[in-house]
Amino acid sequence: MIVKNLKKMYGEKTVLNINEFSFEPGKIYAIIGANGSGKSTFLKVIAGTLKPSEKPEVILENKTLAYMPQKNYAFKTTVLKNVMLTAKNKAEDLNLAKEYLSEMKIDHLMNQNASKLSGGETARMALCRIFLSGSDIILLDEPTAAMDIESTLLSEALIKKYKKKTNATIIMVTHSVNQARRLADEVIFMKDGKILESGSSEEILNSPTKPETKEFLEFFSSEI
Amino acid sequence: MQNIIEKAIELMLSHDSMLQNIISVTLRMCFSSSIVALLLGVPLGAFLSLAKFPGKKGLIVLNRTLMGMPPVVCGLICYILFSGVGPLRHLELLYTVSGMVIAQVILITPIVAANTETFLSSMAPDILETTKGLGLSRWKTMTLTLTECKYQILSTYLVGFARSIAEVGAVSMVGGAIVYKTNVMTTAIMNYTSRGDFTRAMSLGIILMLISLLVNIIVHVFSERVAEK
Ligand SMILES: Nc1ncnc2c1ncn2[C@@H]1O[C@H](COP(=O)(O)OP(=O)(O)OP(=O)(O)O)[C@@H](O)[C@H]1O
Ligand SMILES: [Mg+2]
Repeated sequence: MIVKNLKKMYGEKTVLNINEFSFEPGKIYAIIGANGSGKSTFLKVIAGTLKPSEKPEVILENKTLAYMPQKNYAFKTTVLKNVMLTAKNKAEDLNLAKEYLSEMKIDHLMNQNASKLSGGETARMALCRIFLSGSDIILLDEPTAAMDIESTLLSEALIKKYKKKTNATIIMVTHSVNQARRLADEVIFMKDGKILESGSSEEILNSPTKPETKEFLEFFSSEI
Repeated sequence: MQNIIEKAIELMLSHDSMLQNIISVTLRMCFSSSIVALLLGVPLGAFLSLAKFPGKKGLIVLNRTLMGMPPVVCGLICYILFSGVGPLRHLELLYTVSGMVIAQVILITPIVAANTETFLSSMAPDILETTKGLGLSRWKTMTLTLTECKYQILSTYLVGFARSIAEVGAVSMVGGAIVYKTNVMTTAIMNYTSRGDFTRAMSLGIILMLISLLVNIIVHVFSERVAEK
């Protein structure tokens, strides 16, 4: 997938300004950067849920795309039905849905009203839901922000497994440098709506070239 | 007072044909106007909330203004339109239940639309972000959103029904409170009161309150169910 000319302004303030970036299949991209650096805006403009200030180009090459927002809506029906929203082949997808739910350890909540789930449980359900879409490109906005450590690790395993199985492109925003280290093949560092630095996970996380990236990473050296 | 209430209850329990006619005309009118207003107001409110077009703010303000339109003004406009010199005289709507329903639809639709606009503006962004992210079709998104908002829609309907059953100004001007034809509970209460027949006025008043109570109970029970599921 290649994206070009992604621009978003609020009044005079430019919150997203990306000329061109290309994502490869079979890779996990972690987007890191401070609050307000434009990470969510980046995903929303690619997904088309936010109207950009200029016409962007998103070249999908016949691939399908799904996006999981920072705030996920749980429909007032069962967890299973929520996960099955994108189901095409009912019987096949039902097995898959159950498999994902059990991998996220919420299969016991399958028949519960999804709107009654806790924040972390909702996020786990949303992750199952997004993977059930079977898309080639998956955008995740801080998928594990509301999760405890166990769920976070379960999510990471599921993300990796999905990538392996489908050769999908996974682009995720994360606030955890350690998560990026565990998961990502590539890291994108954003500041003020721009991609300041990007490259392989090792390159960026171990020997960044830009002083801003270094400074940002130093803050996280004490992270648990 | 106690005497009046006792007699009123007695009258309610007797099978008074005029009373029964008033009640049936009232219910016919209320159900028709509230349902038509719902069918028009919900799509209009959804449009006001979700569509992006220039002049949208102005239209929302206009709708809110119409929402506060005094019933007598609406009655006056309909009267002029339907009367012997009005452009719609051939439809023969003056002094008919249909004419009253039209007047009430004009009054209630803006209320339904404004309510819909309000609840959708708070609920829709999160729903749409999720459905769009999942790549769901427009049709599926619409049915999901309607299902999510069913309690809000129901309570909006209730507001419309309450407005309809309690309204006097427009229905008395357009309907003319003709006995056995267009006389509804509110207009009948006014007529009986001015004639000094407090017993009949009070018994209609009690029935009006009881119907209102019943509708509220039904809606409450239903909404509890919706919240549980
Ligand atoms: N509706 C809006 N009006 C004005 N400014 C906005 C609006 N939405 C977002 N912004 C601004 O755009 C900038 C980028 O926001 P964005 O949500 O992309 O940040 P982020 O990198 O995802 O931050 P976080 O880590 O907190 O999730 C922020 O400075 C934010 O204040
Ligand atoms: Mg964000």
